[in-house]
Amino acid sequence: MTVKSSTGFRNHVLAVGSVKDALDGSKLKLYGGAVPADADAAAGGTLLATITVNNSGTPVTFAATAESGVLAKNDTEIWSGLVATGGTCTHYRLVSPTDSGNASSTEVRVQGSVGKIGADLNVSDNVLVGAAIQNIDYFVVALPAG
Amino acid sequence: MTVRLSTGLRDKLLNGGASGGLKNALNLGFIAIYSGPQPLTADSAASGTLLGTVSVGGAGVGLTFGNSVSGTIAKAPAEDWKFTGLVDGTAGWWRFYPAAGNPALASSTEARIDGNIATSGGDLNISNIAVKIGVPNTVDVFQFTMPAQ
Repeated sequence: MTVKSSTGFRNHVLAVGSVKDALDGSKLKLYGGAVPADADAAAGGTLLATITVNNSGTPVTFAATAESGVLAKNDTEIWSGLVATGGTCTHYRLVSPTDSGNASSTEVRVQGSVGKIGADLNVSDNVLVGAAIQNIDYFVVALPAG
Repeated sequence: MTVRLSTGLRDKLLNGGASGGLKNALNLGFIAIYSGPQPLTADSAASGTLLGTVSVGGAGVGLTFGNSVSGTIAKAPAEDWKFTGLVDGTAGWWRFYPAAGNPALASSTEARIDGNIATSGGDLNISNIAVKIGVPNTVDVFQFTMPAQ
């Protein structure tokens, strides 16, 4: 699995603003089921949980500075969300709160796999339990050097 | 052959703010053309001999980009990107660096892109890699694509 970025995200980072600028104010959506082919595609599977700051609905932000080409979550924030539907989490999307989930070449999105180990986003247990609170303790975006 | 991004550019792309992005990080920058193989990383000091520096019209004016379309940004179409040979040599690699930058020095903060040069199949293709002193050369196509994965 590979982290996939939408055309809207790529265009933003090339000519509009930084990754932090693009992704600050996003919500992290955790899905089960089929993984969309790319981040431009319509959302797929079942939405299990939406991660915000302390499950408050407030969108998440990233650290003020990147270090060695890596931008991490804002470590003063607790990223968590209520599991609306229990199930096995297969993938995530980091999206704008206004993202409809429809196919788009302009929405800023990042998509990756979710698992216990070796996934783009690793969680302690990817079988989410309904009505439980799911935390995301570690989330980074890295740009390769070449 | 690999296009390589410096740590400085990667950090600027990640947290460069609302006016950031690659377009802004390299706005009014230049492309230094060197002989020999490209350095190990874009943070490294330049290697080889500086054969020329690409600017708008070869007049020392910094280069700019157009808008990004489908994840690819290209040179501003109205600009004529040109350099004049400083010494005779075979172009081997290039370094895109910002207006106030110094491509010769090692840096982990300066925004840079490195790549190789060839007449075909290079990261940057020019019609003639045999640079001659005093002879102008042009860079007619320059674009950078942000990979989708």
